[in-house]
Amino acid sequence: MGRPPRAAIVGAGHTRFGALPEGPRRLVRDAVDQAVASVDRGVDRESIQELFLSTLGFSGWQLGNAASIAAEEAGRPGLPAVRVENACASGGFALRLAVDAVASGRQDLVLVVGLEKMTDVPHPRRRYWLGVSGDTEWERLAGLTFAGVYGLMAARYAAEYGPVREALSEVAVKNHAHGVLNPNAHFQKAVTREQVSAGPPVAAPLGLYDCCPVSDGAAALLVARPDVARRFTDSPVYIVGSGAGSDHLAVQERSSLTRIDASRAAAEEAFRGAPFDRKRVDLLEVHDCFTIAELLALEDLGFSPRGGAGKLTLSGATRLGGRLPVNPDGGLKAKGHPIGATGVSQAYEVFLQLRGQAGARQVGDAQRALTHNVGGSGATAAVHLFSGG
Amino acid sequence: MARSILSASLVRPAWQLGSFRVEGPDEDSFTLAVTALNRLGRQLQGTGARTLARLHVVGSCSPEIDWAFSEALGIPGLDVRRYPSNAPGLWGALAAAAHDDGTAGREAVVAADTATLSPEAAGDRRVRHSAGGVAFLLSKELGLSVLRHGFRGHPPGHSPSMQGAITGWLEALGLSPHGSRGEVVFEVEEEPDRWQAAWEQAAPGITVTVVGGPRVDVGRPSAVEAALLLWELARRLRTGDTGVVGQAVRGRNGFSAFRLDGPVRWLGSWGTGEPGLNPPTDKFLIRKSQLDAVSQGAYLPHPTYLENLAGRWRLVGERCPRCDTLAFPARGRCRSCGRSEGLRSEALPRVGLEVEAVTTISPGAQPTEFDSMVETVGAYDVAVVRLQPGVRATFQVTDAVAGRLRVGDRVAAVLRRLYPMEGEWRYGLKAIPETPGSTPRLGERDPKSPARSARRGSSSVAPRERRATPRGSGGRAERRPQRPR
Ligand SMILES: [Zn+2]
Repeated sequence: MGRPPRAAIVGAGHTRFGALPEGPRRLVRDAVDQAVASVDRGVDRESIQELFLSTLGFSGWQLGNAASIAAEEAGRPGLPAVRVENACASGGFALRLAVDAVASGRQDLVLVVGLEKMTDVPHPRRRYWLGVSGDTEWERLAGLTFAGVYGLMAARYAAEYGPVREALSEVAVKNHAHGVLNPNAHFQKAVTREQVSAGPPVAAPLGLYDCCPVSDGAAALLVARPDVARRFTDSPVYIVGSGAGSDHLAVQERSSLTRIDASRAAAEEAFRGAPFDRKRVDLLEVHDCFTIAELLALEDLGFSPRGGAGKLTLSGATRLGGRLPVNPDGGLKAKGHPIGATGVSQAYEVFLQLRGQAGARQVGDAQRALTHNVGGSGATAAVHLFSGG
Repeated sequence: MARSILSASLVRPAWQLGSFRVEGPDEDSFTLAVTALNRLGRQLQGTGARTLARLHVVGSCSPEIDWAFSEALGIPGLDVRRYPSNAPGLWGALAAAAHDDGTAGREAVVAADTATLSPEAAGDRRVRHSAGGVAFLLSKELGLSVLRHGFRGHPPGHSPSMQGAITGWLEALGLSPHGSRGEVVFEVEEEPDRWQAAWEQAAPGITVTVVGGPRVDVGRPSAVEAALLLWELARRLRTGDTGVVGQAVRGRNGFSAFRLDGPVRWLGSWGTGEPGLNPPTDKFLIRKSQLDAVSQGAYLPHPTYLENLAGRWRLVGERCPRCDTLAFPARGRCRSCGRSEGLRSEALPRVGLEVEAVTTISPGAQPTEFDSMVETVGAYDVAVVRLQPGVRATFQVTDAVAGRLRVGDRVAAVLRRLYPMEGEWRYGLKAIPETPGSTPRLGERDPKSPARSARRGSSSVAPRERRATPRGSGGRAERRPQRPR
């Protein structure tokens, strides 16, 4: 029944996401403190052996060597520490490195911190930073930001599969409805399909409500070797699959405008040798930076036939209470998208869900979950599979 | 004052020109000239025309980018010569091109420029920005005479009658006012109606079209004006008539003119597309502060920009000799099999490109590099276009109303200014929508030539109509790319 788990999450922490008064150091400290406090049997910070910081370095606040700051704020100056950067997929890749660090036997317990502070930057500088992870030469300097690139993908998707507006709106409506149930979410406010469809245009066919917000926030995970996990808790969340992929940076060079092949490759690797297949997954955390991205994710990850994700979404199957809840925490769309924090935050949600601690948004009897984290418009992607203890 | 008439004889009865006129903030004399020449080149495909050897540029782009013409046209070693951006500059260029020194039929004259007040002169005033380019390919057997600028001036205090002036000018061009038949296209700043009447009385055998209106300090580039007048004249000389195109210059009471002896065999021309597709002119009002704006955005170092100019400017990709995969942009390694030896450069088509996807970027969603452009033009489209199956490029769309382009439409790639960086304008391709039938076939008259529709109105346009358009001071100095090192 597949290979044994590669790693276990034994503690997790999460700040609020949104336009926050706290600075980046404080956000790291709060997320790590929460993660440490969440360990059922307690953990001595001295037993943490390595730190992986996921951050883009938005605003240029500390572009180089930011990992040492994270170690300071974690209360462990001197710890081996490294910053991991793959744009919006930084968190997923930091988790992947953490999994390898313990699965290889090199370490027993490591810390993953995801961080981004985005809202304390003047507006023009923020807009400069928002596109830095796309292709500079051919896309950005043709006038595209990520909204524009996903707008192109949405336009192509509609040309190939038919009208998509209702399904895009439903993605936003669903994720906002989930966000209402998440006290950490940036938006805790429901919207209607009419509101979404009538939102101001940003990058046609995408409008304001199709885009995730600019948010501050941090999340932290304590990742242990599976055979020592029970020292910390009776209910660890096991990581049973880890996959990653990359693709051409510029969309024009990819094999299709309506697929993200990096996601497909990452899912294939994650499921290879995993103890369960897609049919047994209870919930998904997918990278819905724009509404169209959630539809693409459902198809790229193999949970919907090509062109069928809109229908699946409109059927209600991906809502809480549906057959396959997607983004019960509100997703990037409603929870917020502090770039480096997002992939770590997705694993935080799975940690809660698989331990039955997700409160009002708990997915009934959740045993198995998948997280999907995309860098930019799909140049990089990481997928992880989890099962409850 | 002595007569100073330059004459030249050409051998073959071919006269080609391509022209276009657009208005936009992403144009300068360089991009306008390249586009006009590319249009011309496309028209000449299949006619046996040979590669250009010499290019006479009438425009304000600096000599520092002579190399850029070679690169943009894909003609190594092109001999580029320059002339002042005014009507006499154009007459000089035509005379030089007509002079046979072994490159007959391989010389083109292009007049291209923008007219925007210099930021200093404009102050904070909103000014009109206009632009145009006309390219001519000269062949033999055309009679050409140039009456030099200012030749036929009059001493201070002595102002002859209009009729007297006309008679003098025609004589200076070797024409008899009463015996000659032909066409004159005459441009004057003031009193066009009186000039029209004077021409009709002075030279009854000659059909005269007078265009004119008061000059103000902004408006259209004068070299392009003169080139369009010449074009207008050339279109009419189907017979053995003689034609004159002239401009009278205010203040000096002088006259500069170009004589052309028919017949002109008209092989074709290119005009603008559907006027309705062009954005309202008011969208292209430019502020001084915007002209000076320097990007604070994503960075592309100068050497990296120069690395693949053939791709950026001419859509040259590469083909793998082993697996035949064609790729754009060229990166020196086959995407498909990984081979890096023997890859061949291959120019991809720049017209008839199918739109695979298009988005409209609303103001505020643009990268910061495009802030000043957005302040000027508002929303804009960006499209992914198919160059070949599986080979694509991403272009900003220009000369179009945002939001109208659809998946499946066809576009053409044209050279434009993209963004300022490191104190220079960076150039690259943008897409313009193609209207079916807007490119006439060789040998046909273009019913929608700029001379008729877009700029000058029809040849019978009422003189007063032109007064609405301010005219002006010629292109401002531009920042230019530096020669590759
Ligand atoms: Zn190959």
